[in-house]
Amino acid sequence: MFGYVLANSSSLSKEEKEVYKAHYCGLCHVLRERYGQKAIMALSYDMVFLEMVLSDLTDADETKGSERCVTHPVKEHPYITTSFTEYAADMQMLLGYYSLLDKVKDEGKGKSEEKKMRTLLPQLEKKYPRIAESIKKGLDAINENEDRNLKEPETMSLLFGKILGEVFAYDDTSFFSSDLRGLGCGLGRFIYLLDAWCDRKKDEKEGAYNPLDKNITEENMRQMLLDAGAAASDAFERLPLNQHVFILRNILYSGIWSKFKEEKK
Amino acid sequence: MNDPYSVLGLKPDASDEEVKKAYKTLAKKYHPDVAGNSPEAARKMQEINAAYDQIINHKDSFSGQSQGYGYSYGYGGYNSTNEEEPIELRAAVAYINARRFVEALNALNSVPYAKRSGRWYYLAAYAEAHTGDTVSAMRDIETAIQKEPGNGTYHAFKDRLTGRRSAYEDYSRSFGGFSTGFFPCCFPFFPCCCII
Repeated sequence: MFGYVLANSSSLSKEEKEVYKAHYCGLCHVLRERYGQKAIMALSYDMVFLEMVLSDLTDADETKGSERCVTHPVKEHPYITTSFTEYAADMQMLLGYYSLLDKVKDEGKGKSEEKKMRTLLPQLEKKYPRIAESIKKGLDAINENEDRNLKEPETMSLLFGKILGEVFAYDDTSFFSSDLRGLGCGLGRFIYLLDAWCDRKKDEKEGAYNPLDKNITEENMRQMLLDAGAAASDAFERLPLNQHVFILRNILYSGIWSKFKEEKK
Repeated sequence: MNDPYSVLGLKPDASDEEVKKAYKTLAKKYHPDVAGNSPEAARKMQEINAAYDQIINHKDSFSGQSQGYGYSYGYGGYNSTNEEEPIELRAAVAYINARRFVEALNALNSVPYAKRSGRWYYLAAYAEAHTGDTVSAMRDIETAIQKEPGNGTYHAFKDRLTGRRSAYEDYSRSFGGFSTGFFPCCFPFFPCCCII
């Protein structure tokens, strides 16, 4: 369910692309450092978005570096990390672990990865009790509804939205926690719906669960996505962002639609 | 309270961008890490937060009196003059003013179905919208309007919800086509190869 929160590169300037890329490489760098080479498999643009929002919001200090990595062994490339890169990496692992558990349960795949990641879990749950709890509860509710084949995309997407909302609200005492929660929730709803849309044919073939009705029209889908996107942007525009705001708006208003548009072609 | 713009050192016609920038500059100055734990800095921080809240968050919300019901949602926040307002609703209003929308919804949910008034649905819709649940917000504001069709505040809030949506759609469209794709070769194993 990851990888929908992308930028639309065609309307970013060269400088903006470089900043975006450096934050992406920063998250990759921290994931590797904290969780080992294999952890970069969990890397996604969704958490790059979160890292950039939180860094901008708090004017976090940036650490710049440059390195070669396994995926780009020849050319050295710059990366940027902030105090929120670590947070984003931890969230990536938490979300990744619980969705891996689902996969093990549903398909019997990923057992060895699950075992490895399980050892990391207690420390993450201890560090982020509120967030870990709401991820667990939310995913339980989603699973329960899947088991009874609930065909209510709005209800289902809201459950996922609430999870991402808690992940975005990194500090519940912050003056901006409610706006961050709203942003995460809208974005989570969007991701869940779009994922269901993109998987609907595959799910049908495999007889797997999908919240969408078989006869859903593209226009119906677009309306649901618009509603979720608008909820996210409403909260987003209340946050005092000024450093990465062009990149973040590009993602929120345009980039997140890319997979929907691709599907249309 | 002082004029919120002057708290932030701005003219009343300052743009949202200027407000956000001024807020951040001041918030940094009075942050406990910089200013220490002085009560003066803490008070200043509260003032700055309140000013930001007024300008950014309440600007297009519920200004003015709402059709003789005795509620106003102006710069002073939510003032209830109705003595008979149930305690759960008063609690919800207090939470909304403190921007604790999850708690506001918890307070509202303790009211049994049979006792839910138009105003209950309105407050629920307002809190839901601010937690990102615009679907429930739309459903509840419609119930509020059904219960009290003449209440302008409810209609204004519904318009605001639909307005946000068309604003999102319009701005979204302004980015134009998706011609050159979205870093198409990026799948998790090969992170940044295709951005440049």
